[in-house]
Amino acid sequence: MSARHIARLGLFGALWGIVEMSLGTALQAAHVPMRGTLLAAIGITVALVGAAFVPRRGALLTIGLVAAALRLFGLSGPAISSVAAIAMEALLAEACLAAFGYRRSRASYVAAGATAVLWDLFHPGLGALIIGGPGVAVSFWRAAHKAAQALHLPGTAPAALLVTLGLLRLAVGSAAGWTAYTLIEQVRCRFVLDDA
Amino acid sequence: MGSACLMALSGDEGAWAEAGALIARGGMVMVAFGALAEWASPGALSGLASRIGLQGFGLALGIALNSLDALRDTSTDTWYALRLRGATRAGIRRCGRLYAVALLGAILARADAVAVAAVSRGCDRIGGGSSATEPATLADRQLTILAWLPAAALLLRRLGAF
Repeated sequence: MSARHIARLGLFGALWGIVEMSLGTALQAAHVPMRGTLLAAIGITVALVGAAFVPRRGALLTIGLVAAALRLFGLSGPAISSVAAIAMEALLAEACLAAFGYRRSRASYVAAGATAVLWDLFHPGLGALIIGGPGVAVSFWRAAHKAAQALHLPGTAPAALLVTLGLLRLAVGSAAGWTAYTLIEQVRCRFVLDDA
Repeated sequence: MGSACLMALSGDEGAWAEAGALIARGGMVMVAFGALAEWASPGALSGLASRIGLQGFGLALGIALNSLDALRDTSTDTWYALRLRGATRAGIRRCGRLYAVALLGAILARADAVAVAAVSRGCDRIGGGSSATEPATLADRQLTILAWLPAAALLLRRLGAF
C-alpha cells in the first residue's frame, strides 16, 4: 500500500474520529434521542467517501478502526460502547462492499450505509447479551411486554416498535450511502486526483 | 450492576451465582478496557500495530493523531470561507453539499502533502520492519492478571470446580 493511500486512510479516520469526539460528546450531553443513528450516518458517509479514494480491500474497516482508536483516547473519556459500535459499523459496511465485489455502484453504497446504521439498533442489545448473558435479554423483552400492557397497548407493540425503529435506521443509512456516492462523484469531478 | 442486583433479588435458584457471573463478565471488560484507555498511549497502540504486522494501520493511526488539530482548523476555515462567499444564502442543502465537497477536497489535498512528506522520509511503501514498543512493566503484568482473573473464575465455574 502506498504512502498516499495510508495518509488518506488516516485522515478520513481522523475526520470520523473528530465527528465522534466533538458532535458525539455534544449530543450525549444534550441527551438527544437516536444520536447513535445520526453519528453512524455521518461516520459511515465519511468512511465510504474515504474508502472510494483508496482502492484496496479493508480500506473502510481501517478507517473505522482508526476512528475507534481515536474515540478510545478521546478527551471526552473512553466509551466502550462507542468504540465497539464504530468498529462494528465499519466491519459491516466493509462486508457489504465485499458482498458486492467492491464494485463502485450506488446500490452497494446504499446497502453498506443501511447495514452499518442498522447496527445501531442491535448494538445495545448485543452488549447486554455479551455482558449479561441470555437471562438479561429475556428480562428486557419481558419488561417491554409489561410496559406495553401497562400502557394498554397490544402484545405485538414491542415488536412493531422494533420494526419501525429498524426501518427508520435503514432509511437514514440508505440516505448516508446515497449521499456518500453523490459526494464521491462531485469530488472526483472537481479535483484531479492521482490515485497511484 | 443493576441487572445483576435484579437477577439476585429475583429469588430464582442459582440467581446469586448468575448475578456473580454477570458482575465478573462486566468487571473483566471494564478493567481491560479502562486500563487500555488509561495507561496505553495512542503512540504505543500505533507501535503495537506495526509490531504485529499491521504497519499500514500503525502509520494511518499516527497520521490521524498528528492531523487532528489541522483537520479541526481546516473544517473551521472551510466553513468561514463558504460563509464569506455567501454559500449560507444558498439554502441548507446546497450549503451542506458545498461544505462537504470543499472539506473532502481539502482532506485529499492534505493527504497528498502528508504522503510527499512520508516519501521524503523513506516511507514510500509499507513493507516489513517493526516499530519498537515499550517493554511490559510489573504493573502491566499485574493488570493483565487482574483482568483475566474473572475469566479464569468463570471458566472454573463452567467446568464445575465450584
